[in-house]
Amino acid sequence: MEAWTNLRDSNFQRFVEVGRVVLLSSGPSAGKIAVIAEIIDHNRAIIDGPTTSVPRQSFPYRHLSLTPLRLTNLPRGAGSGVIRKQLEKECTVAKWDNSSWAKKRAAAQKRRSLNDFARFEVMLAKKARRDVVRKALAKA
Amino acid sequence: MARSRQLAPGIGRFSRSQAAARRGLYKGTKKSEKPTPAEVLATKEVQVGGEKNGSTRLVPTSKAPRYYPAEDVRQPKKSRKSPNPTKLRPSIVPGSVLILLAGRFRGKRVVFLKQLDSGLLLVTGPYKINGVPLRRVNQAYVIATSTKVDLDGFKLDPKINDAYFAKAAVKGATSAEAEFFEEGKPKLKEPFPEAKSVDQKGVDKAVILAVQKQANLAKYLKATFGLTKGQFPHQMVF
Repeated sequence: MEAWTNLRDSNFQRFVEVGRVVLLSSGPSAGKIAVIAEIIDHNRAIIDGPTTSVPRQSFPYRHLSLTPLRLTNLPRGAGSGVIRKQLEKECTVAKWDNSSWAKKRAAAQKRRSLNDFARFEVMLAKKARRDVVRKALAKA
Repeated sequence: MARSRQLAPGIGRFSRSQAAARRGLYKGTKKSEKPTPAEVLATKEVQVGGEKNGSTRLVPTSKAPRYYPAEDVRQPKKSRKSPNPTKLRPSIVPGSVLILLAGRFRGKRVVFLKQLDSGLLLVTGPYKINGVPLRRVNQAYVIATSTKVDLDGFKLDPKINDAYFAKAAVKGATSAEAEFFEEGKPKLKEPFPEAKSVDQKGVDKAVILAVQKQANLAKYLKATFGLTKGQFPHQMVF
């Protein structure tokens, strides 16, 4: 418990810890979030995402990013059922979806899927927005 | 091939000539009689001057060539292969908007009308919208977009084919001088044929009507395509 309080005094905000919600950046589940269920060593952890269809697996830290979200009081090595219950209770997935990080990711994904004509229409929409802003600014 | 058992796909047990010998077509009775060529005498008699020359001499009718190759050069075998008709990319259908990548209209977005017999694609700007006339392009130099102009019920005049775009052949030899100059002055540019501009308008009328049904589509066709920072065509959706 001593070490715990020390960690909270650190300048770092996010830690690799049981209950930490992580974003996966590679593998078949890339782009999905999961929860750290157990830390294996300084390279890997057991992650599980029962509500985001990420199977329970060992995963290297190199290929995941820590999010600010965290399940409070998740016991070490909790099974999928417990994790699912806590995720649902704390509405973690909804919190993630509402975060600006997730929204930016979704927007980038959407942009990437646009075809040439849709990209052109986005350009037109941005021009129209610029026009409105400039005119409003000139008036003010 | 039937007599030449395949060792591997495309490779028969016997060579081409061995297989032909086995087929034995040479044994069959000849059905057509070859016309007998007129007999040409090997030698002819010519008069020669000079008293001691015997007044006449037999000489070969056709002189033997003074040069003959020191080594035998094989005649290359005639290829019996013929190119297959060009396959149209499945992403290109009549009405597809294409991006031209080469030629003087590179970067322009055009409407695809049909594939001609030569395999080239017939496209139009339409001319009124972006200045691209009826034109043939190779599908290799084109990006097919998923945007489509609804050309249902559009009938293309059958006279617009490959021959329609061919240059009129000039008979006889022409000098480079005559090609560009006339009476010492640069030649005036030939006007665009009236008939072709009528054809262009006829085709474009239907296309423009279809384009105007969709918002922003005319603007889109008028704008040219380009890549900006961080855009890589192989990663983009078209």
